[in-house]
Amino acid sequence: MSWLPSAMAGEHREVRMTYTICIWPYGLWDVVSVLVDYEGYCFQDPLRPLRESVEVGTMVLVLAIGDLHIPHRAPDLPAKFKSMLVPGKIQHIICTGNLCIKEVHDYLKSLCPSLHITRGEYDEDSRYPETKTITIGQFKLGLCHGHQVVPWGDLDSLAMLQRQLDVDILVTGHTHQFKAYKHEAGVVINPGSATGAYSSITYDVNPSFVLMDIDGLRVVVYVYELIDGEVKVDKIDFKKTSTATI
Amino acid sequence: MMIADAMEDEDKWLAEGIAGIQHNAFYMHRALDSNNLREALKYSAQLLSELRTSRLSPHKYYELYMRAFDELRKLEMFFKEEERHGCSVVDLYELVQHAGNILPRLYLLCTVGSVYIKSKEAPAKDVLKDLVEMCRGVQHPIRGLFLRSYLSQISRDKLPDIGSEYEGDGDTVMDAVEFVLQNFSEMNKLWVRMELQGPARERDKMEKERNELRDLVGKNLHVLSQIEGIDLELYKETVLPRVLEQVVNCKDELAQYYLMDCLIQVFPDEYHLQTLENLLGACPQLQPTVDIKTVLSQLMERLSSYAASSPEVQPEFLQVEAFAKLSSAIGKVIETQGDMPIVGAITLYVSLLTFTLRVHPDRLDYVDQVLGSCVKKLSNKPKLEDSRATKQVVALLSAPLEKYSDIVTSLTLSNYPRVMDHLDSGTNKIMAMVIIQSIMTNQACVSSADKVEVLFELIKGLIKDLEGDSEDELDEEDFNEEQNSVARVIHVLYNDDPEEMLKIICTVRKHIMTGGPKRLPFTVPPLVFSALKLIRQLQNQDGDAGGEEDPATPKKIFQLLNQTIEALSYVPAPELALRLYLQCAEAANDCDLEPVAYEFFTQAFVLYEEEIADSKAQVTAIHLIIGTLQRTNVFGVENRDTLTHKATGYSAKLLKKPDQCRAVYACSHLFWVDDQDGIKDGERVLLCLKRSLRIANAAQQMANVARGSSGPVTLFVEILNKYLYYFEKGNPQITSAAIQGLIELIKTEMQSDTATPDQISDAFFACTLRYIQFQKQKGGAMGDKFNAIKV
Amino acid sequence: MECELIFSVFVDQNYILGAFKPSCNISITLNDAKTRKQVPLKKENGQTAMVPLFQSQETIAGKISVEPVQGKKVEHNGIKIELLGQIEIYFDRGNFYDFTSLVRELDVPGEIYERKTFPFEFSTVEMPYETYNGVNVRLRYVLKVTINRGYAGSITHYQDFVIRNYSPPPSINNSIKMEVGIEDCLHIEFEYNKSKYHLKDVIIGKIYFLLVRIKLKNMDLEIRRRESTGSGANTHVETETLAKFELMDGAPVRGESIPIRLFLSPYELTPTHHNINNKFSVKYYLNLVLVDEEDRRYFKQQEITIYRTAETSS
Repeated sequence: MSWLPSAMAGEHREVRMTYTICIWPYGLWDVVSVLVDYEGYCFQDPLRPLRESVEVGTMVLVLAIGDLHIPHRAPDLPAKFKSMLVPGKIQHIICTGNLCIKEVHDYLKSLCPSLHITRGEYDEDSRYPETKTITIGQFKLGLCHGHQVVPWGDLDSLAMLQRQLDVDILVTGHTHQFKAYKHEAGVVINPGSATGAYSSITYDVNPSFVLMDIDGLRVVVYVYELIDGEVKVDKIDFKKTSTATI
Repeated sequence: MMIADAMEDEDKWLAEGIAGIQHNAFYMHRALDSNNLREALKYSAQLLSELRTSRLSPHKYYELYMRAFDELRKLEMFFKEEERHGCSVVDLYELVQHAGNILPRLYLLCTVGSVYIKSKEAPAKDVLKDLVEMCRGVQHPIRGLFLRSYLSQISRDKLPDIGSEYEGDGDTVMDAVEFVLQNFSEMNKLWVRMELQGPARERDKMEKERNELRDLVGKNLHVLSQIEGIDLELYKETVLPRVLEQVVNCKDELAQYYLMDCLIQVFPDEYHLQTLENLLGACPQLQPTVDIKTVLSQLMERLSSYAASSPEVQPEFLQVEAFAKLSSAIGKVIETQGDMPIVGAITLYVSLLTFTLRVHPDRLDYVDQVLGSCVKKLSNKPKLEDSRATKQVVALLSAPLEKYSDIVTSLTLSNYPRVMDHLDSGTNKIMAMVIIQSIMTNQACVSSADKVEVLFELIKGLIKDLEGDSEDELDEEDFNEEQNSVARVIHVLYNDDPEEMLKIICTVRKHIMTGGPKRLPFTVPPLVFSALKLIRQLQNQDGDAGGEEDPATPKKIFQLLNQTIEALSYVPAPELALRLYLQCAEAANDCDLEPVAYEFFTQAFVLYEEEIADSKAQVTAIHLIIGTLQRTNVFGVENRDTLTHKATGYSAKLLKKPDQCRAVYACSHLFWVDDQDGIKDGERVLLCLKRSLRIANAAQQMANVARGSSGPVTLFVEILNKYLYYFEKGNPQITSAAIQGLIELIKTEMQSDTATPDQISDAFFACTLRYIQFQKQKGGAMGDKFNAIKV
Repeated sequence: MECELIFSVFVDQNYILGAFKPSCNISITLNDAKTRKQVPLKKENGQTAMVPLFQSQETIAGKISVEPVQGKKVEHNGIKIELLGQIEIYFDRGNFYDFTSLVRELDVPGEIYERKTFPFEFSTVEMPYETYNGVNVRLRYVLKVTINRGYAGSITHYQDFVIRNYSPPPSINNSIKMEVGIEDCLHIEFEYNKSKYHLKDVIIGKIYFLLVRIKLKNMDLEIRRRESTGSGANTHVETETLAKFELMDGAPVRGESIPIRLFLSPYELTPTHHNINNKFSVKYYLNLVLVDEEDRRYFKQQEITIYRTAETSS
C-alpha cells in the first residue's frame, strides 16, 4: 500500500481557492461552480452534485475538529463556523480533544451523533480515551490529541504513532496549527484550533477545522480557515493506490 | 343542572321571541305590500314588542335584536317611499309616537328619524337631539343599550360632519359630536348600571354579560373617531374631556379599563401625543382596581410605533415632553394606587422603558431615570419574592441590553446595578447570565478597566457567594454553566493598548480572586490565557516598550500570573495549576526570561511531587512537563540539567512499567532537539533509550511472573521506532547494529511460546519493518544508511 | 293640520227611525247642507251617524218637507219644529232636562195631500253647552218636527246635530310642576308644560328622579276622565282611563330625567265641562303611575283642563 499524489498533477499539489463565500462539498450550498486556484488555473468544482462517476452513498463527510479550548482560551466557536456547521450534513465527527466542557461536547453531538473524541490535557471529561481508531469506508483513521507525543507536533514522532495505530489517516491536534500532509505510509492531519485559541506552540493562530470527504480510495481534505473575519477554504486531494491490507 | 335548565329555558324564550317577530313580520310585510301604513305600524310595533323581554342574556337578546333590526330596515325603506306616497315624514314622525309602549315607539321613532334626516325637512341636529333625548325613556340596561345602539347605527351616516351632506344650515360638526357624546354617555351609564342592578350572587355571570356588551358602548368612540371634522382642537377641547369625564365619573372598573383602552385604540396617535397631559391626568383618577398598567402600556406601545413610523414626528415627542409626562403620570398612578402590587409598578416601568428605548434611544439619561424610579419604588422593601415581579425586573433590565447591542452603553447606566440589587440571588444570577449572553451575542467588547469594574459589579452574583446564597440549592449543572459563562466573558474584556489591558486584567483578577475554591478553576484559566496573550503582544512589541519603568511588562504580568495560579493550588486543583504553570513557563521562555521560566517549572514540579497522586494524572503531567521542557531553550546548562534530571527522575518513578518506559524514552528528546541550535547529546539519548529498554524488559518479566505469559511486545517496537528516529536524525550513538539487535529481540519475543498473540503489536512491528524497507528503497544517503539493517 | 289615526266609520244616514211605517215622510234639509260640516255622532243604538255641526250663536235654518205616502192624505192639527237642548242622565232614565227649547209653528191645522215644504229658521241660537256622550250622561241637540194629529197620535221626526264651542287659548296657562315622593324611598319631580291643553295638543314634560331606592319597572302616564252626574247624595262619579302611555321602561337611577311627549290627538277627548246646567261635570286628569318590580303602583294625579280650539283646517 502506498500513497500517490492525486491524479491532477505529477505530485501532491495543494489547490487554494480564493473565494470567500463559504462552500461545502457536495453542494451543501449550491453556490460555487468555478473555483480558481493560486495560479489562476480554473477547474470545475469536482464536488458539485453532478459527479456522475461517483456512486452516491460511498461518499462520507467527516469533520475533524479540535483544540477549541472553550472557555479557557476562547468564548465560543466563531459565528461564521457555527453558521456553516449545521446538523445533518456530516456523517462523522472526529475531535482531537480540548473541547473543554460538556456544552461543547453537546454542541458537537447535536451536529452529528457519530462523535469520536480523544482526550486533550484540558478536557473536563476524563473518560475520553487517549487514542482511538475508526474505520470509515476503506480508510482506517487514528485519532489522538498529541500532547503525549514528544516532541509536540513532530512529524516523525507522529509517524511512529501512525504506525503504532496502523492507520491510513492520523488526526492529531495540540499545536493549533493546521496541517495535512502525506507521510510515507499515509496522511497526517491536524485540523488546527477551531477557535483559534492561544497556543504556546503556534503564534497567530487562525481558527480552522477540516472536512474530509472520503470517497472510495480518495479523500479530499477541505480546510476551513477564518482569516481576518473571512472564511477561506483550501482543498487537498489524496488518493490511496492500494487497498491491500497488512 | 340548574344552569343547563336555565340555558334551555333561554333557548326556548329566544325561539318564542323569534317566532313572535316572524309572525308579526309576516303581517307587516303584507301591509307594506298593500301600502297600508296603519297596519304596517301596528304590526311593526307588535314585532318590536318582542324586544321588551327581560328574560334573555345579552347574547341571546342580540340575536333577537338582529332579527328585529332586519325587519326595521324594510320598514325604513317603506317610510322613504311613504313620503312619496303623500304622508309627510313630519306626520310620520308624530304618528309613530302614538304607540303606547315605549320601546317599540322609540325604535319606530329612530327609524322614521333616519328618514326624516335624510329628507332634510328638518335640520339633522334637531332630529338627532330629539332622538337621543327621547331614548332616555328606556332605562333598562340591556334594552336601553340595544336601542341606543340602534340609534347609533342608523345615525352614523347622517351626522352633520364636515363634508357630509347634512352639514351646513347651522348644522355643524359640533352637533354631531354632541349627539354622539351624549349617546355614548347614556350608554355607558346604562352599561355601568348593569353591575349595580345585578344580584350579588350572579356577579360573575353579570360581569361576563356586561363584557359581551362593551363593544356596543365602545362603538360610539369608534363613531367619534370616524368624524372627519374632529380635528385636534376639537378633540382636545371637547371630545377628550367629555369622554374622560364620563370614564372617570362612572367609577366602574370594567368600563374604565375598556373605555381607556378603546379611546387609545380608536383615536390617532398624533392626538394622543398632543393631549398626553389630559389623557394621563385621568389615570390616577380611575378606580384603584383598574388595570392601568395595561392601558398605559398600550398607549406607550402605540406612541412608540408612531414615533417609529416617521422620523418627522420625533420633534413632536420632544416638543410635548412626552417622556416627562408619561414618567410623571406613571409615578402618580403608582402613588395613587397604593394597593397596586409591585409587579404592576414594575410592569409600568418596563413599558416606559420600552417606550423610551424606542422613541428616545439617544437619551440614556431617560433610560437611567426610569431605572432610578424603579429603584425608588423597590427601595425600603425586602428582596423581591413575587416571581412575576421578578420576571418584570428581568424584562426591565434586559430591555437596554437588547436595544444597545453595545453592552458598554448599558454599563453607563448608574441605576442599572441598583435595580439588580433588588433581585433575589437566583434571579440576580439569571440576569447576570442575560447580560453575559447579550455581550456574547453582540460580540461586544468591553474595553476599559472602569467598564469592566461596572460589569463585574453587575454580574457579582456569579462572581462570588452573596449573602443569603444557600449551598444546598446549588445545582451543579447550573453552577458550571454560570461559571463557564463568566469564563467566556473574560475573553471579550479587551483593549489593544497594553496599559489598559493590564488594568483590565488586574480588575478581572481582583474580582475573580474573591470567587472561592469552587469558582477559581473556572475563572483562572481564561484570565491566565488573557494575560498570556498580552504578554505575547508585548513580546512582539519588544523594543517599543518604555523600559523597566513601564508597568506593562511581561515580567510584571508573570508575577501576577504566578500569584493567580498559586491560588488554584489551594483549591486544590493541582493538575490545572500545573498545566498553567507550564504554559507560563513556555511563555517566559519565549520572552527570554530564564529565572521566571525556571520559577514556573519549579512550581510545576512542586505540584507534581506534592499534589498529583493519581497515576494516570501523573502520566499526563509528566508528558506535559517533558513536552514543555523539550521546547524550552532559555536555560543555561545548570538549570537545564536540574530540570531534565528531575523530569527523567519522575519518569522512572511512574507507577506502571509501561508508563515508565514511555516517559523515559520521551525524555530522550530532552537531549536531542532537532533544529539548528538545539542540543544534541547523543549519549544521553542513548542512555534514556537503554534505560527504557531495561524497563521494558522488566515489564516483560513481570508479566511472565504475574500471568505466565510475556506481555505485549509493543514497548519494544516503540523503542525500536525511537532508535530508528535517532538513527535517521544522525545520532552517532545509535547504530544499525543496535537496531538490528532490537529487531531480532522483538522477533524472538514474538515467536516465544509464552508470547500472547497480539495483532496490534504485530501490525505495529510490520509497519515499522515496512518503514525500514521504505527508507531503504528511497536510495541516497538515507537508503544507504538503512541498507545496513537487515529485515 | 292633523293626522288621522282615529278610525272613522262612515255610515249613511239612517232614514228609518221607527219600527212602524209612518203615513208620511218627513225630512229636514238645512239651507247650507252642502257646505255644513258633518261630524260623527254615536246614537243610542250604538251606531254612528254623520250629523251637522254647529256652534253657539249660529243660525239654524232650512226647510221641512212633508210627503204623504202615495195615495194617502195627512190630516193634522198643526205642524211645528222645535230646537231642543237636552241632558239625559241614564240612571234617571226618561228624565230629560231641556235646557234649551225653541219652537217655530210651521203650519196651521189642515190636510196635506202632496209633498209640501215649510221653511224655518232659528236665528243666533244660544247653545252654551257642547254635545256630550258620556258614560252616565248625554247632552244632545235635536231638531224635532211634530205633525200634530190629535187622536191618531202625532208624527215626529228628529234630526240630531252637534254643537262644539271653541275657546280661545287661555290667557293664563301655567305649567304643572310638583315634587312628590315617599320618604327615603322615592322622590321625583315632574313637570307638565301646561295645565290647559286643547284637544290636539301635545303634553310635554319630564320626570326627574331625585331619589330612587326602589326597583322600578316602568312608568306610565294615564289620561283619566272623571264624569260626575247628579248632585249631593245622588252624585255619580265615573272615571275612565282614556290613555295609558308608557313613559319609561326599566329602573332609573338618581339624577335621571325622563322626557314626556304625549300627543292628545289619538284619544277621544272632550273639553272639560264644569257643572253643566247643574247636572254633570267632566274633568280630565293626568295620572303618573310608577310600578315597581313587585307591581306596587305609585301614582300622582293632576287635573288638566281640556278645551277646544277652532280647527285650523278641514
